[in-house]
Amino acid sequence: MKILLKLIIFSICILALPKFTLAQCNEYTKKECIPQLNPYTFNGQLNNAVLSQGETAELQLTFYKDQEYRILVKGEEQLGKIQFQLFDTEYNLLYDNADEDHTNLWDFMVESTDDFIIRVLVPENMTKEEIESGCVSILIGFRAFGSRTIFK
Amino acid sequence: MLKFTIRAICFLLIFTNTLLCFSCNNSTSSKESKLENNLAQPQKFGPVKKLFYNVPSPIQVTELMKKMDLPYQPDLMNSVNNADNYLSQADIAINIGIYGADLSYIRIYNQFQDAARYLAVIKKFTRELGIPEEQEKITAKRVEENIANQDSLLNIISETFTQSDSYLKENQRGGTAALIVFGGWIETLYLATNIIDLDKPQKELVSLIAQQKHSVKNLIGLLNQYRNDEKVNEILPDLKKLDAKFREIEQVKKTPSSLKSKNGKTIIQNKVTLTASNETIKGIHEINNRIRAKLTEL
Repeated sequence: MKILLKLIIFSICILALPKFTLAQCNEYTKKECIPQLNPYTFNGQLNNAVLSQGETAELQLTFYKDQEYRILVKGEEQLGKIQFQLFDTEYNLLYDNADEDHTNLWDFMVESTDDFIIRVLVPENMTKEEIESGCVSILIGFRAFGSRTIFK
Repeated sequence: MLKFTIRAICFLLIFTNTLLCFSCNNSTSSKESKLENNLAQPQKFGPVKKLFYNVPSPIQVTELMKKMDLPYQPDLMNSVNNADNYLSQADIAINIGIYGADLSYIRIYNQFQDAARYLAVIKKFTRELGIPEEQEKITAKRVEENIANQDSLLNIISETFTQSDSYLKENQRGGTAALIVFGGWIETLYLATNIIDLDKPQKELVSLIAQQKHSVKNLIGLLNQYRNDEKVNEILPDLKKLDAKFREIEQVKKTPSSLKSKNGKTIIQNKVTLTASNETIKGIHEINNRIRAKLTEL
C-alpha cells in the first residue's frame, strides 16, 4: 500500500512538471524581463517557452508607425548568447543582434505600419556533450512617438 | 493483480504526461544526447520550434486614437449592465477583452469614474475565471489610490491583463487567453469603425482601420492554435469573413525595407501604402458589428 501511495505521489509530481516549468518560465519573464522594457509599455502578451540549444522560435506581429518599440529577447544563462533577427514578411533580414554583440534589447521605429517576424535562435553548444534547456522570453514594449515616458 | 494495476497506472501516467508535454509544445527535457554529425559547423539552428502570434493590444491602438482629438462616445462601449448576461467561461473571457478595450478607450479621455466601473467588472470576471484572489486585492488597493492618473491606470490595465494571460497559459488554458485577446481586438475595431464618419471618413481613422489588415491574420493564426475549442471554432468563420473584407484593401510596398538612423533613433524604412475604399470600410464596419453583437448581446 505504501508503495502504491509513493507511486501515486511520484506520478502526480511528474504530471505537474510541465505546468511547474511554464510557471517558472512566466516568473522568470515577469521578474527578469518585463522590468527591462521600462520606459516602454509592455504590450501584455507573454511570449515565452522552454527551448533547447539549437532550437528556433518565431514571433509574427505588427508594428505601427508613430510608435516607438523595444524588442527584448532574453534567455536563461545556461543557454548562452541568444541570437535574434528581425525580418520583413518576405524574410529580408533587417536586424541581427549578432552584429551588436548579442545585445538583448533593440529600440526602433517603423516608417509605415507593417507585419514583421522576429526569429530567436538558441545556438548549439559544441563544447558540451549534452543539450541544455531553459526559458526564453520575447517581449515587446511600445510608446507613443516623442513621449519621454508613458510608463512610470 | 496489485502489481499489474501499479504498472498500468504508471504506464498511463507517464504516457499521458509525455503527450501533454508534446501538445504544449514545451519541451522540458533538459539533457538530451547531441548528434555527433553537427560538429562540422560552429553554430547550427534547427527548424522553427515555436510560433507566436501577437495582436496589438487595445492600449496600443487606443493610444494611436488619442492623437486624433475625437469626442468621447461612451454609448459605444459595452454597458457594464450587460455583465451579468455572460455565464460561460468563453463568454466571460471574450467580454474581459471587450471591457478591457473599453477601459483603454476610457483611459485616453481621463474618465476615471467610468474607469472604476469597468475595472470592477473586469475584476469580477477574472475572479470567475479563477485568476488568484491575492493579485486581485493588490490591484484593487492600487486602483483606489491611483485611479485619477492616466499613467497609473495604464499600468493597472497592463498588469491585470499580463497576470491573466500568464495564469491562464500556466494552467493549460491558452485558448481562454486567446479569447481575451480576440474580444479586445474586436471591440477596438468596433470603436474605430463606429466613431468614424462613414460618409465623410476621417483620413487618420481610415488609416488606423486599414492597418488592422495586418492584425486580423495574426489573430486568426493565434486562434487557429486552439481550434479544438468549441468557441474558437464558432468564431473563426466570422473572423475569416472579416479577413476577406480586409483583403480588399490594396497594399503597395514601394521599396524593400532597410534600416536608417536619424536623430539617434533606428528607423525601419518601409514605404507601405494601404488604400481602402469607403465601401470596404463600410463592409468591415458591418461585419465587425455583427460579430460584436453576437459576443455582447446574449
